[in-house]
Amino acid sequence: MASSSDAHRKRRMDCSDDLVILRDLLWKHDVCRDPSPLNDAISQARSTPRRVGSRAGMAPKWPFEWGYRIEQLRLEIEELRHVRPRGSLGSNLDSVVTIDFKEYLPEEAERTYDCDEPLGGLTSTTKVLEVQFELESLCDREDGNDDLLSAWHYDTHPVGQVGREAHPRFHIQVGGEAYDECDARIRAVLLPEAPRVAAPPMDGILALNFLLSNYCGELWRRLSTDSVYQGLVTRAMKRWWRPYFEEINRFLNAETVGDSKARLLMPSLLPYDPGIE
Amino acid sequence: MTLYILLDDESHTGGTAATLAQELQEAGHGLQVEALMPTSDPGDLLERLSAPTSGSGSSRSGCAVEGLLLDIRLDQVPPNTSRPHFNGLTVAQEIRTQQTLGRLHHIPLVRFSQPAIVDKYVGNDTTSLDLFDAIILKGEVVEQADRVALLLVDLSRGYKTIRNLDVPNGEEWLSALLALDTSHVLRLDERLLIQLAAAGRLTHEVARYLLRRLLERPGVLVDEGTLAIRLGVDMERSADWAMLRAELEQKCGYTGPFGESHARWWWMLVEDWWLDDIGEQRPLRSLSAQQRMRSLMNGRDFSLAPIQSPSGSRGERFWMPCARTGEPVDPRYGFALAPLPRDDVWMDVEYLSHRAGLRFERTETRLRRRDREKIRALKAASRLAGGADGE
Repeated sequence: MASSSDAHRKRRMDCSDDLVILRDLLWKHDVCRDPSPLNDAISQARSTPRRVGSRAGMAPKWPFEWGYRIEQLRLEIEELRHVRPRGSLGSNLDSVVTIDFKEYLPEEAERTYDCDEPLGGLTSTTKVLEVQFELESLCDREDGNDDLLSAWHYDTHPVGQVGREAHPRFHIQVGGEAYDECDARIRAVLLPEAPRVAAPPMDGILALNFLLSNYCGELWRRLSTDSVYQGLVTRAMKRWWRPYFEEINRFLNAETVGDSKARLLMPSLLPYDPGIE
Repeated sequence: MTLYILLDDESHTGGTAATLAQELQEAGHGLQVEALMPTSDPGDLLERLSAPTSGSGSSRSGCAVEGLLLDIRLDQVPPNTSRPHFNGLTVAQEIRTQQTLGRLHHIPLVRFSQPAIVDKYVGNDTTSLDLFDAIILKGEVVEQADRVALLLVDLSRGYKTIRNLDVPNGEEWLSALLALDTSHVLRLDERLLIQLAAAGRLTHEVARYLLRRLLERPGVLVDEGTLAIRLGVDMERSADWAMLRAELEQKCGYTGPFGESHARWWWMLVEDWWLDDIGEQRPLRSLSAQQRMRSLMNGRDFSLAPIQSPSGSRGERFWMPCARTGEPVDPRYGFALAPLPRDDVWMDVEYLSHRAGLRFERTETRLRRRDREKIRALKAASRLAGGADGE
């Protein structure tokens, strides 16, 4: 029987192999002109787990974690339609995405550390799945050109932290810190924190699939019929989406429903009496 | 002592070849250069190269020939001398063939000529480039004899290292060749490893692969300029850059063949160092030059200066030098150039800085149509706003 470290070695190699396939497809279709952020992520995915945040030689404070970060990947997106404000440029736009994925080793979930961060959550060892997307455009105005920014992020809410509003474990939110630099120039649009829209978990593969489906629809439709791409996304879906939706499905179909992990994923699911018609 | 032969039709007494050979020798590094006049029979040269360490084929000093500098044009011999009807490119091809057949031992070949001759015989034709391990213009010896001498000696040493690797094929061979721990070798792109292993039967093929695809193109290895840019350090204004460089050399430096003449750093090991030794959780690429510097200086007594944004350029997350101007580029605001025919996906993409994009939009042939249109729109917007325009 394979040991836990053997299993994790295989996990790392499988993950990096899938990133290689994704990188090659994006490169082949010229939607990503500079694949170096993916190259770095592939190398990180192949490396052994490490304790992040503590300098070499110091006493271990943090658990071992492993993952990758696709930092500042530029995607050549297709022409946008129905853009507001009207008159803003919808073609030749720059988009930049950063995808962060970190998980603890399975055995770490059993240990305790001198840190506030509770381990675990859905897909029990996931630490963070995060996507930051930014898109820049220009608007031709009477008094000159205006730089415009569209930004959203997909976030992982730490287990154990309870906010006033609902914080789904994985959620999408518009705005945020990306707007700090242009805050003084924002007019006519209000960007509150809410809503945090619950979304299924997304690793690098699923996040890029999501981005392609939304911003590169023509290419995404072609890729969707490519068996290599299908295999890539299917593997990721089974890993991440199956437990997510199974948890929600279990909640909705249970005969007695109380608190469950499903409510971490989607806090707006309230405990209910299954007898209610 | 490392002996090179310089095959040049100006090798006669008082000729420029003899002078250049002398200058290279005087640069040190244990280099000996013997200028040799070509004869009408290329077999004369092959016979000389095929000799072992002594005898008629060896040099005056008794050393084996460990490298060959080849002029391209070889037919301007003095009157009453048999004129060769071949050039240096032909000789190089014949030597590579003889090496492949096992009749000559593998030594580096260096093209060594004048710009006018290169223009005439080679021009934009790249087919002969693969024959050579290095391309040197004669003028470089005058200006940088030390660098050229080190390069020649290091090429010869690198060839010896590759030739003498006594490790079975596979990961261990790659690890020994690259002087890199096997666990790190496995983090490299698999195609790189497969291609390198496939070349493994021929020393000059391995040498060319290392030189052209790993050392001369940033990707898995980066040069000093790129390293400094990625750390956010202005080398010129940083008194302690040499100390930081030395630390990184020890932890992440490339120590494989040709590494003495090509100072390089394994990029993945620099990233490991950033996380493990500097203790920074945010990756370098996500930080501005100022932020990188703050993390770098945390708890260290280094005198380092951050890169300042070049005027007219945008962004602060510098990552590579501009392909046209050498200034630091933030790729978010730069323009990625189309890859060259033999570029692989694991090699770094070359960029024009924002400023260089505005300046070279009309002349840079590797700009994509989409970027060209974007630059024109930026220029038009700049004109409307009454700002400065590109050239």
